[in-house]
Amino acid sequence: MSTESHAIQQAAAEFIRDRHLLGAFVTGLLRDVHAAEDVLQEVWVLLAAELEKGTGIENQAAWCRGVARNLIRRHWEKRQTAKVVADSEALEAFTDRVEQCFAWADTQEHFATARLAALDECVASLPDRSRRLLSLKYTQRAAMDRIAEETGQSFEAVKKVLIRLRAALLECVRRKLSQEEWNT
Amino acid sequence: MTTDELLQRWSGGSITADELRELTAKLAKPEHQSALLDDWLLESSLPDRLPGAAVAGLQESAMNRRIERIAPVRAKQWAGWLSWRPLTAAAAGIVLGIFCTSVLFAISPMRKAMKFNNVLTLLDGGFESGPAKVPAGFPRRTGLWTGDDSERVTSKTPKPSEGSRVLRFIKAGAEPNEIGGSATGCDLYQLVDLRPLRAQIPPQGEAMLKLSADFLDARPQTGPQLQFVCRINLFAGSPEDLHAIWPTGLDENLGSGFGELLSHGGPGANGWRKLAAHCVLPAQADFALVRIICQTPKGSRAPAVFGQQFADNILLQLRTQPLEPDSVVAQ
Repeated sequence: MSTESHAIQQAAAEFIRDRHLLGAFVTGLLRDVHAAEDVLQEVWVLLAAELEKGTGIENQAAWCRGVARNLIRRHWEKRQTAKVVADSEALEAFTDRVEQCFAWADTQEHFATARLAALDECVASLPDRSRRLLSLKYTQRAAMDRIAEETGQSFEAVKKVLIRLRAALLECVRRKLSQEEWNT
Repeated sequence: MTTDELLQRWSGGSITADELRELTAKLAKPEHQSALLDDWLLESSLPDRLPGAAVAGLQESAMNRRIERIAPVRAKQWAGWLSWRPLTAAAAGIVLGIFCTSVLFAISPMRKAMKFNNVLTLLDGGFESGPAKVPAGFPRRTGLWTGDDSERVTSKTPKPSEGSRVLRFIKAGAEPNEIGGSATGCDLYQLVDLRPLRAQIPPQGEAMLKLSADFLDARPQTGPQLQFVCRINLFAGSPEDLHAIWPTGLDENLGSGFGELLSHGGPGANGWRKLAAHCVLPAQADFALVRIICQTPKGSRAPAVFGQQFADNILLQLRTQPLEPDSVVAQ
């Protein structure tokens, strides 16, 4: 295997390992899951191209975040939809801080995997009806009015339930993590 | 306001600049940093950890198996597997695109010039032949435009981008096979058989597809925002089978490219505007799905009825790059 292929294989393994955090960074900033998917793909293409050129990348996670941030910035500039984009200074400061948060997460062992394991347990503990509701929103990406129609509830009721369910999941994950910390 | 409330406002797109500053200040403290990380990780991971994801084969194990199957030969050929997430709703009107294009252009210079090959067999890219009314539904064979309510019109005003006829978008339709799905976009589809192209791709070389399309928003007055999109998705297998599993079949796509532009019409619409999408062509790809879409942006409350929006001059091109730098120079 060539050195180049080896470097790419290693980078791919690392990219896959870190994809949850990078995905959270991109999705959280963009607030659009489809745009986030495309950004992630572009980050990989750019990373692979750098490696093909023989560029050494010391901190791949940080490098990918930096590239993703540029792509996101371009996306914002193009769309001009977010109200806050008008205040680019506030947005830059926020993005800087977000990057610091993720850089800190990089230093924590099993940060993402521990949370995802907890999330799996929390999802499993939900009643079927709640899981179905979440699936409609997050997996099938159905519009809120369609979810309301399918579940026979009002638009407002569905919205409230989904907000509560999400908050409950977040709380459940945090509780499980703190229990784990306590146990260890 | 608590950090969770501020994060919720950020996610909902309703945060003000002052609130964003407040959130930024809070994030200096570790406990608030954790709150953001937990919140965003949950939001981005939840789709893969719910029952529907297992049905669609989208869980991590499935993705990893997919990765393992692909030989680590050339980096850009790997791009396809990174489209592991369902792009189902993409057809209904999703964002992004233009920077996608720019990024790939940005790559090109450092990867040396790619050779432009012939235009592919995208049938009737200028909408010059065929019946006026575009057949409804998803195509069941290659070389045929089908889709939502749209028609070929002979036009002097607006002047076609090329030839004498153009495609007019008329009305949005729901995704084929999706009962009760929302109708936000007028989609046109064409399947393109890529298998005959394999001979044109140099051994060990790379190939990229470029889809380009001209769009026109001819509304005389400024109106609600619309999106024009051109998208290409690559698949393995038989093109005749995709209609049965559309749109969930998008999960199986090997690669994609996407270009979009926004328009309010009116005097500032600037006539015909060209859009392009690029996509690396993996060796396993047997066919492409080309889509030309006019749609209302996500979250828009404007009715998805068109009539003054047009497309023309749809081209699909293959670009190849041999592996050896010497060969590139020789070109």
